[in-house]
Order: sequence, then structure tokens, then C-alpha cells
Amino acid sequence: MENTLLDFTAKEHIVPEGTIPQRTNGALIDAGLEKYTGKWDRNTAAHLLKRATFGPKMKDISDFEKMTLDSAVDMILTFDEPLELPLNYNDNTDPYAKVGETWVGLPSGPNTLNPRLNSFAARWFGNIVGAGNNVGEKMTLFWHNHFVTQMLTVRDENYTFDYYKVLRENALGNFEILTEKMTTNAAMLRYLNGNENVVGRPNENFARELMELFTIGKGPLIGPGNYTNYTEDDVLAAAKVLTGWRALRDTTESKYFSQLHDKTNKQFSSAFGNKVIKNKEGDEYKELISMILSQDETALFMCRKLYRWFVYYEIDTQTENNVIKPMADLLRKNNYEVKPVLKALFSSAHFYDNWNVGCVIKSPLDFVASIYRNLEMKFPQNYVGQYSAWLSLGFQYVAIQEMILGEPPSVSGWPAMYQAPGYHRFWVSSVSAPYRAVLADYVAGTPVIEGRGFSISFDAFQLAKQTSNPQDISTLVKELSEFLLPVELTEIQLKYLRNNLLPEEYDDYYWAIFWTTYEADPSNVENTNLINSLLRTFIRACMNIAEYHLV
Amino acid sequence: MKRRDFIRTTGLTSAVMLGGMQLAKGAPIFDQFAQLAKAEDRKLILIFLNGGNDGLNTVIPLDQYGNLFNARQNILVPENLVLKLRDDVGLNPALSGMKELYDEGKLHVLQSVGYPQPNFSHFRSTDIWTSASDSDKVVTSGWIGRELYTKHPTYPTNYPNPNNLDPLSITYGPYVSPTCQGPAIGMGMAITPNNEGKIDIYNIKSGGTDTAPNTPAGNEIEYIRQIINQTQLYGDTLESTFEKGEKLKSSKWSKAGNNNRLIGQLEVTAKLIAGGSKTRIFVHSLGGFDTHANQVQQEGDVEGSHFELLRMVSESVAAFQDEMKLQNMEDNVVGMTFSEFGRRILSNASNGTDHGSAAPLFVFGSRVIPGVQGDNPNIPSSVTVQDNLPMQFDFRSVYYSLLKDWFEVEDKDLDNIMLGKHQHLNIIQKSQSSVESNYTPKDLDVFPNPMNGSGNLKFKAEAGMTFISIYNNRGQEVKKVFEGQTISSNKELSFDTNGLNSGSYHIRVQTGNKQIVRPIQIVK
Repeated sequence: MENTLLDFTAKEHIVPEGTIPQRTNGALIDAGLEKYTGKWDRNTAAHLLKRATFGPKMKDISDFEKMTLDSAVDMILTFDEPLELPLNYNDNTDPYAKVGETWVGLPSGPNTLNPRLNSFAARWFGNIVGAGNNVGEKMTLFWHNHFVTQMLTVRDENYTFDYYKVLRENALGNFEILTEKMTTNAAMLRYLNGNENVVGRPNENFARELMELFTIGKGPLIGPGNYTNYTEDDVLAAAKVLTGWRALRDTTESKYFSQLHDKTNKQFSSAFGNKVIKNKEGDEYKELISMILSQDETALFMCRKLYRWFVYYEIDTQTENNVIKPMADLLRKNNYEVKPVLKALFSSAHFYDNWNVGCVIKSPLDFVASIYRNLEMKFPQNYVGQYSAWLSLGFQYVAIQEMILGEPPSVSGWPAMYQAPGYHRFWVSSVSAPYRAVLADYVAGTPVIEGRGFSISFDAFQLAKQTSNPQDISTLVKELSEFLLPVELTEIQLKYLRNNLLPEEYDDYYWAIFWTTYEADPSNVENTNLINSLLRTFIRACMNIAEYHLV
Repeated sequence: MKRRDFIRTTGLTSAVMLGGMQLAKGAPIFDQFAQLAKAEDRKLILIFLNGGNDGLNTVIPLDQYGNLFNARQNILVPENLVLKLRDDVGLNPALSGMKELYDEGKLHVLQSVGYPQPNFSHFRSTDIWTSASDSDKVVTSGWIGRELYTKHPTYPTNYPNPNNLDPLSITYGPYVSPTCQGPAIGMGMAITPNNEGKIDIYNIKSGGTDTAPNTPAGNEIEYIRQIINQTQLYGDTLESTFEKGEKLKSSKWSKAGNNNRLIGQLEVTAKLIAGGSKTRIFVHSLGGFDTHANQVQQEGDVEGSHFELLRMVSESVAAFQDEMKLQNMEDNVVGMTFSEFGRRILSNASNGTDHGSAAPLFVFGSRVIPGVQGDNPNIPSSVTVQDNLPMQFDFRSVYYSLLKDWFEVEDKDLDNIMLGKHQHLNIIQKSQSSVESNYTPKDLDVFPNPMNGSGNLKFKAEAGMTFISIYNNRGQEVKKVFEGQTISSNKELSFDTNGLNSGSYHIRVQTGNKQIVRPIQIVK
């Protein structure tokens, strides 16, 4: 047994708050936000699609490969899919919404909350699994993880749907506008006690999270109650600015009540240039947000968060200087418009550097949605089957891995996006890994998945046919594994996958015989079934190796 | 008289009446301590109260009730319903199970546990509590993770092995608790019981491993392979241990109320321990303590969200403790609750409380020294919105003492694991069975009070490290007065109040294993 215990008191182990990690790996990449000038090929196209969407089809990669970097990025940033309203798909007892129609905008009944939240969550998963080749759904989820509300705390399906709608409509929009909308959003007012924030006895819940989590972020503690970027007194002053807003019942609107508002002058600390915010009644909160967003640190904080969402969780000094700072400059220069920043990131040398390929661990949602999207599985068109399939094959498989759409574990979102040192590694644990295998085995191993009102399957032949030479087993293995897995495999790994397609004792030409027989006569049931089962075993092996957890 | 009763009685008497009575080592009553479970067979049960538990509504300082009433009338437990531990201190009525433990001599309450510079961010403060770092430093490993790493420096290579078939730690939830995070990886396993409350881990058929690329992707690949591998290897042991211990004996499990979100976790822990698990650390958690609003349903109520949460904790701990007794495992298990912070003294208008600082903490089990350690917090007569309690005990002293006395970690490792020396507190029964008396007022004299430019301090120093600081009314340490080695002696010193404005403060004296917090006034 090795005898050299790590010295926990060494300075590598204990660092001052706010320290940016130094590179621990020898290999450095200095590539920054400058434009990528390398070759645009299948690998770069696949990387962009895998990071910006919830998983491409094989054909999507071929289509993107034929584009240029600019046109590909433009397409990724075009999000114009209309928002479908969630339907009451099965609740006969809903007193207001008929089955088959939407419940959005209708009053709640005593027992409508759970069925309607199920419908909402199912529809959300449906939007994700059916989305086009753009970053809209990933950005909507980014904002959900950023401006968190929890639907089971809000307990109003119309509030929650309205909140989701605002996130989605502003997904590629302006951060300042979205922050303003969130500040007076009914779900948020209820979730972070804005409703209870009144003159005289402020409730500082929202004010604190506005600063700590939603905008500027907390810096090192440099004095009693002083978090560098703001102080405890600033939290209280901000709470006073925000007094007076209430979410209204039976509508998703909120309203400002002058008599509940603190009309005194609010003094902020030197972190905000000792600014005083004077009474401006219902517009005062905008001045607060503008004050916070005019600090450089806010743009940096947001860009680090975007970076961790799309590139990698580790941000070292080089990355901070070469990527984060230029991103933040762009964000400020564009008055907090998000699109120019994403465009620069998705076009950058840094983004396409091989160093950054394949290192993002799929969230449970990524993992589940990418199976259905990679394998081109078609969810039913009729609403009964559609909603129950989205729920039972989608939402629930994600939820069991402890990622619940509409219900992040806390106001700071999922730990994978903020908790050092593990970050994304939180997504794969002894709890989630077995459930991921359950789904992969189930999808690969079940010829037809049947549920209430639906049957879905994945067409293994269709997938194989998209390779350049399906009868050649090494081409088939190589191209399909390249499509499904983000990093190049070694010979040993390819051999393992090949042996899952065709047992080791069979030479390659057996596969050629099986495949040509199938092409000549698909109605040869015995041969066709054999190929189907071999292909499914192979796909199952691909989805169970560690690399499939990565994009 | 049963031993337990005897200890209980001496505990009570000495704490309240006799002052610092200490029983000598080797006194006949303690002979049986020689038969204590070996340190490596002892287990620590952690229960994280996630969100910031309202300490002043958990352990209620009855001698401060009037001032407390002024500050938080809308949420305060009616005085006549408080479960009295002593005349001056009691528990929220939801904690009837904890009260029973107290009566049986199995509960140790520490008052006002915190750290010198409170951080009111849930996440930062949770990091501080789980890592045991200073509040201005970042340490990404957890205190238990470091303890486990010290014992298992090569983990996870060749783990599990015949000497370590069970996970090093178990966390209930989606991932290994930050408390158990080692310098590189999580030192243990996360589990979630299935719908029937059982452990059932799917067999992952993963293969095709080969040298991973030397890139970030390669690092992640190795991490994922390791998780998959460990899940398989430990999964089998966990399932069989669970099955062996599945039949529980205590009737208290089924008597617990509905919707107890914590009890299922402790039930699984009880089953694993009954089944012979060698795992030493079990981390449980209950969320919902961030009670900014509706802590009680309406003013004057006892019941409400906070009551429900405390009830869940109390029922779960009581059932677990009873089970351990029936399994003859009681002397091997000690438990501790903790939360990232307490809550503000002043309640808000929405029947809730905002983020605060120090709060009480429970340590339970047959091997704890029964009683209440520390003094009631001092509640000012008029409380402003930012007023907070100064800490009386540093949370790291609690960890330090548990590691030293419960796990018998050697001194050289202890300082390394705890990132330095900390105060030793008597929590676990070793040479004494009763809570040591704290400083009595005559041991400390601060004068003049109110003071102006300077003050004087006379106190009885203990042998060891002495720390003296001034805390403001927000519970923040604002001035260090003295720090250094002292010998057992009467000591006098004077200090200036430079940089401090007029107002109410506390002076905290920590000397050896004693401490006292005393209000002072500065008038300039």
C-alpha cells in the first residue's frame, strides 16, 4: 500500500475563494474565441449538432457536413418552432378542460394540478425529442436551470406553463429583458416569496437569489457580510426595491401595489458605486436589474455558465482569458443579447479544438432524448399515445435519474452545473448508471415497445442502410460507432463492438452473406430476424459503453 | 439500577447542579467502556437538514422567551407546549422522539453551532459545512471523504476486496454526498431505494474498455467506467446484506406518521446494519428547511411546514435508535444532524424566517454524553431584521471531537483531515459521562460594560489554545482580541474597540474545551 498520504493542508488543496484553477494537464490549448479556420467536415458538423441539440440523426450530420461553418451556425441559432399548448390527454374529471383540448388559460379544479403538470411535463419532453436542428430547446433548459422555479412548490399549472413559455420565447433573446420578466413572473413571485415581500418586513429570498444565482454571482467573502460583488446590505436594499409585486389569482399576470412598496431611498454598497435607488414605484426593479447588469462581473458570470453548459465544466486561467472574457465583452457590447455570444462560441477555434470534443457528460435528459433521436424512433401522432409515450418513455426515465423537468432539486438548479469539483460527473452515479442501462437495453432489446395507446420501435435496418457499405462489417461498425460515440475508438474497442454484432467465431464474410441475403429478399423471415437481432445487440453494446454517456 | 439510568441521573445532576464534576478514568462504572466496539466497527449516521433549519424554533431558550416572543411572535411555539429538557431550555413539540432519547440519556444537544464569518448562501454554506473549510477558503474534498481517504489511500483501485466488501460510505440520493468527497473522487456510493423501499441494482453489461485518450474526454471516460464497475461490484454485496437484515424489530417504524420523507432512508440503513454491513458512514438528507414563508399555518399555530419537518426527523431518529437497541448494535452507532445555517431571529411578515447563522445541532446514540452543551443564546430585547446569533461552538470542533473520540483517529491524521487543530469537545463518552459545566459567570469578568475605547477581561484560562473575539449583532466575528497558547491560570487582558461603532456586541471566549459568549455594549 502506498504510504504517501496527500497533505490536505497543502495549498493546492485549500485555495482562497474565487481562485481560478490552473491547468493540471500538460496539454494546453490556447485556442480562444477567434473564429475556427480549420476544415469543416463530418466531425465538426457532428460536434456542433451533438452539443447544441439533444442528439442528431445520421442524416442531420450528413446535411450539416455539406454546409459551411457560418450556415451551419446560422441554422443552429434559428429557433422558430411554435409552442404547442399542452393538452388534457386523459383526465375525464377535469371540470374545465375537455379531453383532447388544452387546459392552458382555464381555471383549476380541485384535482387538476397533477394531471395537468403531467401533461405539461410530457409536452415539454415532446418538444425536446421532436425539436429541429437548433439550440432552442437546449437554451430553454439552460434558462430553466438558471431562473429556477419548482413546479411542485409553485403549485399552479398555469403559472408554471407561463413561466416555461417566457423562458422558451426568450431562449435566444435578451438577458436583461428575460431577467425583468422573471422578476415579476407569477411563478417566480410565488416560488421565491416575492408575494410576501412587503414594506416594513421584507422577504429577501428573491433579492438574494437574484444577485447570487441569477445575475452577478457571489465573489469571495472579503469582510463580514461582503461577498465582493455585493453585500448583505445590498441584498436587503434590493429586497426593498422589489417590494410591492404580487402574482394575481386566476390569471398568470402579476401586479404592482403601491401601498406594499417601500418608498425609501435604497442605498447600495461600493460594489455598485454607492448607488442610491429612489422610489420609482412599479418601474424601480428595472433600475435595480440595470444596475446589476452594468457590472462586468454579471456578464462574466453568465458566460461561465454558458460555457459550462456547452463546452466543459473546467474553466482555467487560459479559458477565462481567451474565451470567457471575450464572450463577456460581446455580451455587454450587444446589450445582453445572447445570440451574438452563442454565434461566436459555436464558431470559435476553442469550441472545435479536439481537446474539447466528447468531454461533456450527457444529462439524463440528453441521454434519454439522444437515444430516441439518434435511433430515429417516431413517437405517435395521436395525442393519447403521444402523451403517454412522452411520459412513460421520456419524462419518467429522466426523472428516475433524478432530473425532473419543471422541478430542479433547488433554486440553484442541478448540481452538475455548479458543484465543484465533480460538475457534470454528478450526472453519472451508482444511482443513474443502472437506469441508463435499463433504458438502453429496453430500447435495443424490444422489437416493438407498446404502451397505452402507442407502439414504437427503432428500425435497425434503416440505421444500417445509412452507412456507406452496410455489407462490410468493419465499415458498418466503424461508421455507426462514429455516429453514436463522440471519440475515436481503439482497435480493441472496435473489435469488441464487432464481436457484439457477429460472434467472434464467425468470420466477417458471414455478415456480408446475411446482409446481401436480406437485400435480395427481406421477406426471408429467418434471415431478417437474425440480422435484426444482431444489429440490436450491437447497438445495445454501443449504448452501454462509457463513451455513449458523452457528447 | 440499569447502567443507562445511572448515567442519565449523573448526567443530569452534574450538568445542572454540581458544576464541572469529572469522573476519573477507570472508575468502576466505566470498566465496561473497555468493551466498546472497536473503532473500525463504529458507524456514524449523518442527517443533513437541507435548506437551513430554524434553530430557535427547534431548541427553544425558555429563559429568553419574552424577547423571542417580541421578535417572532407569529411563528414561535407557545411556551406551554415546549417539551422541556430543563427549566431554561426545551424542544419543539414535534420533537417528542428526540425528547424520549433525551430522557433515556441518548441525546446530546449543542447550542449555537456555526462559524466565525457566516455566509448566507445555501450553496456556499453547505460547501463550508461539508468540506469543513474556513469560510473564505475553498476545499473541494469533504471532511469524511478525507477521513476515508486516510484509511483507504488507494481507493478505488482493487476495491471492493475481501477486507472491504461494503461501500466505504453510503449516501441516499442521486450522488455521493460532498461530505464524502475525497481529494479525487467520491469515497463511497450513492443509492436510492426502489418503490418498495428495497435495494435492487440493475446489472449493467458494459464492456469494450481500452486505454482512454489523454484528453478531458478521456478523463470522463475513465470516471464513467469506474462508476459502472463499482456499481456492479458493490451492488451484489449491498443487495445480499439488505436481504439479510430486512426483517426489522422495532414497532416504531410503522407508528411513524404519513409522508415522512426521511424515514425510508434510515430504514434502509437499519436493514443494512442489521444485515452486517461494514459501511461506517451513512449520509441521509431531508430537504425543505428553507422556510421563508408559512413555517406555521397561521400565527399562534404550532403545526406547519417546520413542525412537519421536525416531526419527520424525530420519528425517524427514534425508530432508528430503537432498532439499533433491538439489534444489539446500539453501542456501535452515533448519529448527528446538521444544517447549512440557522435562521434569522426576527421572523418575516409571511410567517417565515430568512437565512441566519448559528443553530443547535443534535448528536444521538447510547454512547453520547447526555445533556445540553453550551448556554442559551442571548436574544436582544429589540431585534432588527439583520440581527443574528454569534456562534458558540465552531462546527469543526464537533467534527474534530467525533473523529477523535468516536473513530479514534490518531492525532497526526486528525489535524490533517480537519485542516488544522480544533477545539476538543466532550460529546462522546470517554472518561466522563456528563456534559461538562461551562464557564459560570464568575469565571469571566468584562468591564466596564458598557465600554468606550477599551475594555478589560479577567478570565480563568484553561491549558490549551485560547481564542477571544468580538462578534457584532449580525453574528459576524469583527475583531480578534486574543489568540494563543495558555496555561491553566487566571488571566487578565485589556483590548481596544478601535474600528467598532457604538452598539451591541458579543464577546466570545474559547479556552481549552470551554467557551462562553457574553453580550457587551460599546458606547462611543
